[in-house]
Formats: sequence, C-alpha cells, structure tokens
Amino acid sequence: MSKLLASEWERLWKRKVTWLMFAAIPIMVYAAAKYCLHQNNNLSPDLPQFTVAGNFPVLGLAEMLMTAFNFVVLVIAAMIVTEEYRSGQLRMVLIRAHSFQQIIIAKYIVLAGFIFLYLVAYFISCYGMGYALFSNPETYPQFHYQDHVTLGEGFIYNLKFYGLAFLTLVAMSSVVFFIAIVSHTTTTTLGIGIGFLLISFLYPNIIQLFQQFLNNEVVIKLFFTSIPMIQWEGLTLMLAKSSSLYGWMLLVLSCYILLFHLLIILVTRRKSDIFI
Amino acid sequence: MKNIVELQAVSKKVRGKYLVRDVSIQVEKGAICGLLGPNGAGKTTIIRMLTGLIRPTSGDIFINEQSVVTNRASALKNVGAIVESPIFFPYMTGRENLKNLVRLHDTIPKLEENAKVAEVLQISGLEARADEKVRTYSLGMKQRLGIAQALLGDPALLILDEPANGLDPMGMRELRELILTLKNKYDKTILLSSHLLDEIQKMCNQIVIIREGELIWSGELDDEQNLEEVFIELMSK
Repeated sequence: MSKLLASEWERLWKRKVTWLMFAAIPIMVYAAAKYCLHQNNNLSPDLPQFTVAGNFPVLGLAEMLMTAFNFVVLVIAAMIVTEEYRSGQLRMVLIRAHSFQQIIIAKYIVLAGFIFLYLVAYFISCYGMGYALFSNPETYPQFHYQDHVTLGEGFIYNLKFYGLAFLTLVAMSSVVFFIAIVSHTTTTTLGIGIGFLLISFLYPNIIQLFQQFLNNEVVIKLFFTSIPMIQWEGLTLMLAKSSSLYGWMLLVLSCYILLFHLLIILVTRRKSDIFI
Repeated sequence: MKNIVELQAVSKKVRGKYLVRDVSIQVEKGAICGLLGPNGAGKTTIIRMLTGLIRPTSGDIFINEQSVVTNRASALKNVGAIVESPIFFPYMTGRENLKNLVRLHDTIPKLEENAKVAEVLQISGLEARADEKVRTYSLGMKQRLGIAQALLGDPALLILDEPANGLDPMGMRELRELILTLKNKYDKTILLSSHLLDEIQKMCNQIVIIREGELIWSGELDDEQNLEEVFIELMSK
C-alpha cells in the first residue's frame, strides 16, 4: 500500500494543475486581504469582524473555504479519479495486482494529504500577508468570545479553526470522490459537484424562510446540515466558548464521511466485476 | 512441458449474454501463443480475465499454478500486460511513466528502480525518446512503451492485446522482432491477441482460435499449412 501511495502522490505532483493551484494561494490570500481591508473601512475595531494581523488567517479563509477550497477538492478528484479511471490509465496500475478499492483508498489519502498541505500553505501565507497589510494589536476581539484574545490565544484559535476546516474538506472529499467514481467524464464530475455545492448553498437559505413555522433550534440544526454553511458560519460557532452546536456539526460531518465512504465501498465492490 | 497459463472451462456472462463460453486453453512455458479471432470474438474479454481486470462467471484461470480468481495478487506477479491500447499518463515522459509504475512492484528494491527502468527502455528500443512527454509519442512508440512497462516486474508471462493495431508495416516488423527477441533472448512466454493472420503465423508457435466466445481450434501449424486458409475454413463452418 505504501508503494501505491507513493506512486499516486508522485503522479499528483507531476501535473501542472496541481502546481498552478499552489501558485494561486498568494493571489487568493491577496484577494481576501483586499476584501477585508475594504470591509474594515466600514467597521469599528471593537468588532470581531474587523480584520487585524492576528485574525486574518481565519477571516481570510472563511469565504475562500466554501468556494475556492471546495472547488480545488472537486478539480483534484475529477483529475485523479474520473480522468484516470475513465481514460483507461488506471489499467496500468490495476494489472499490477492492486484492486480498484486499494487504488481509491490511496487516492483518497493522497487528496487528504494535498488538502492538508494546501491549508498549511494558506495559513502561512495569511500570517505573512496579515502582518504586512493589517494592524497588529496585542489583543483583539474574537467571534463568540466575551473577552479579547492575545496573539498567542488567537494563534491557538486559528490552528483549531484550520483543523476543523480540514475536517470539512475531508467530508467534502468523501462526497466528491463518490461523484468522481460514478461519473463517466470529468465534465460530469465537475457539473454534479458544482450542483451539489449550489444546492448546499441554497437549501439552508430556503429553510430560513420557514423560520416562523418551525422551532428555532430545528431551523439552526437543519441550516448546519450543509457543509458550505458549516464552513461559512459553523466553524466559528463550533469554536465558541460555550457551543451547543459543536456536537451537532461534528455529527453532520461524520455522517457525510461515513455515508459516502459506505457508498464508495459499495460502488467499488461492484466495479471489481465489470469492465474497466 | 509445463503450462504457464491454464484456463479451465472459463465463461463470462454479462447481462444474460455469454461473451466467453466454456473456454479451456493451455499455454506452454516458452511459447508464443496467438489468440486469434474476428472482432467481437471474445479475445479482449479473455485477456481481461487473465489479467484480473474482470472475474470469470465460472471456471478458473491459473498462471504459474496460481489462481487469478482466488489468488489474484500472487498470480499477477508473474504477468506483464498491455490490455487494449497502451494508455499512459500523458503529462509525464516515458521514463517518468515507467519510474512511477516500477514503484508498484514489491520485488524491485528502491535502489534498483532506475536501473530496471533503463533496462526495459533499452530492451524496447526507446532510450533515445525516453525523456519526451508521452503525448508526443507515435502509436508505435506507445506500443513499445507498453511492452517496456509490461517488462518492469521481470514477468515470466507477457500478455499483449492487439499489439500491432494501428502500426504501419515498418512498425509491425519492428514489433515482431522485439517480440521474438523477448522470447529467444529473455526467455519470456508470450500470449498475444490479434486479428492479423500473417503476423500471428510469423511469430507464434501455438495458435488458439476463438469465435463468438467459444474455442473452435487450438494447436500448432505445420510449416506447409497456411493460417489464412485454416482460419477461413474454420470460420466458414
């Protein structure tokens, strides 16, 4: 399995697209910084939404996570699963005594490794850009915290935020991997993947329209059954000092991972006996 | 002589239709066996089953006495193959493709991987173009690269599915010489499928003919026998 992983990892980094995605990180961070600087003009420094060097890694990731990061996961899955599988390239690996399931597991681990590195690179870039473009107070307000946090406390908070962001992207990968396996072309994978993201953006907002008819807690819980919504607003709630929703969102993410892994196992088992 | 390949009453049924029915074949060690049949006869299905890409509906397949059905990993350690057209990762060079694939062989130590890649490039005659991207290769070069990757694990058996497909006469001749070298110099057993009768007659010392998924003839030809005549006679029955 380790040799299979090494082979998959090497192939991922031989692609220009992979390097282009990494090269896009400073551009993404700069775009997020420009947006935050613009927002700062209309905000009081007492608000947690006001961007400073210490909280820029979180504020600079929030919107990018549910858009650009999810899209990166989708593109990588389309490349390493759908393209290699449907073009017949995987036959070269399959005839070397590796099963389709083993290959898919290796690809999943490789994608998780890529996401981890991507987040680390984004985190470091955000700190660099944050200190270059924003003020650097010794303490600053934090979302859902009563007291200001120090730079050290803020750093730990940021690490936890990125850890949870990684978990949401792993959940997203599970969904996207399933789509990539069952799709016949990369265009289909991208299309269904974008469709899944759009539905995940839309239905929580539609549910909010029924807020007056439903119990508020039910509405909030339904709202946070969507991965992009967890990425957008849920992560700060999960990290609140007294969060009642931490368990719920963790359960939702676990359900996505388990359900789609189960579906992947079922599909790959069936595919071991049909034409490849 | 010992059989390296043995298909025992193998059938493959998909959506109620038999693609291969009750086929039994033995290939002797050191032979070049030609699997012959018209398009849609079931040659590629047999090769897919031999290489473990699909499972037979019934029957069993043995390579070096290891069952592909129940002991796929061990059986395939003795096999190098091109199934259908040789498809590689186009964004990598020929050498990079081979380096990537050689890693998947447990039997080759990491320190020897580069030497192994150089060796198979030399055997397949691709050294001069090894560092060019595969997307720039002609079909003949891709076939050679296909054979090079099949040789990576130093397999006793090479399975080549329609290796001469799309090649010009010069390319076919070069491929024939390469296949004969692999048998004579490197002691490989080769099972190749084709619908090109002339090529099969020039290369193979054992012939298996398939029609509509069923084995209709298996054996060796005398020097005086013409494969084309035998084939046409069998097909018209």
